[in-house]
Amino acid sequence: MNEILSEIKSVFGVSGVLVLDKKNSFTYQLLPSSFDQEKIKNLSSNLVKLIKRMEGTGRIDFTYDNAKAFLYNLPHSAVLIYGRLSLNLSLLELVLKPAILSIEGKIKGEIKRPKEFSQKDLSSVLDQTYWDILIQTINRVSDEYKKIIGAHSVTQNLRKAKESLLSEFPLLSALYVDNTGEISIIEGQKLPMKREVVRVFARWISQFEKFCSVISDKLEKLNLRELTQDTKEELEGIGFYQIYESKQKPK
Amino acid sequence: MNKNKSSGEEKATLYFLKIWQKISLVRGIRNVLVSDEEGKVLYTDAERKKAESLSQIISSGTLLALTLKENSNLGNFLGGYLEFFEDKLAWIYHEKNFWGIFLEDKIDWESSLEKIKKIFSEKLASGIKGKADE
Repeated sequence: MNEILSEIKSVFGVSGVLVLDKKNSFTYQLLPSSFDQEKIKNLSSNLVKLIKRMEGTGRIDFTYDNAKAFLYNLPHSAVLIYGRLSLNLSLLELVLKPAILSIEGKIKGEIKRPKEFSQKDLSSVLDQTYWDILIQTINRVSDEYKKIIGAHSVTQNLRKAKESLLSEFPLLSALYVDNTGEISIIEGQKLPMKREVVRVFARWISQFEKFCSVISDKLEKLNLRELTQDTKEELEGIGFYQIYESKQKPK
Repeated sequence: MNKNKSSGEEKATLYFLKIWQKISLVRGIRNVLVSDEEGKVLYTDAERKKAESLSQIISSGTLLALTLKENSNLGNFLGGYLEFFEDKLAWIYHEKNFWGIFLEDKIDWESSLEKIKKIFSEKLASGIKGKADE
């Protein structure tokens, strides 16, 4: 999902994208850092209210002094996009057509929802949703650290942490840390759908935090559960917190 | 008009009617819808049930638009446009009411809203400031 959102956001003038999974009221977003968790939650909850009132499908355009926003209410999802007045509308439409199909396909195709997973199921498959959630989680951690130590140090430490775990978890090679400290899946990489993925992310975050703690004494321990409020159920369902927290306990 | 309506409601309807007379002259407008912040229909000449559904949507839509505005440098929210089944409705938020216009096909909604805003500013300039003045 991140890849699709990035594609939409790459259109000139687009500032942010938010996708709502209508059935589960779950959101995916690529919004500027001015949107903290509380604001995203607020925006999502207003979107859910609006969608409930809209029967079937449809589109709403919003216009502002300096911006435009578009809401596409689709059968399985709703897509909210906003950007500058100068945004390239024809290019956006061109990108949106396949993007909307992919979004709908992904949401419709999510057969297994996190709530259906129990701890016993952890050895079973993980689908793309979990990859998306885990990438979103580590990116949130990255964003939090950027506020304190800056993007450069965050990028360095994420890469360093990845390197240190690569021999233990080769699937880390499918992930890329860009120069702004954002993590994404390397294009064309086939993603393994197994429990190891959860461990990889929990360990990577933990290792990254360890490296960061060395360079600044201003760093306080992150409250990861608070930071991931909106995906708490999913992360709990796949045992992410459990693995992460086990790495935090003093030896 | 419903004879049981309170005189306040009648005054409000009269106020909306006066503005509607002007708005209806704008090319491409079929019907009008005025609702309060909660999405309750105050005046409409469109089918009531449809107007009620749409006023709920534009009320929630505006709330979403304002939430988005709070967190970004978008400037003031000027208005919205939605396509709902066969209907094309544009709306603005003016004096704590939503003013919606049902548009005919192939009409530029942004320019229609501009014209309506002009009507409002002319009315304000000519001394009609609100329902209380009617």
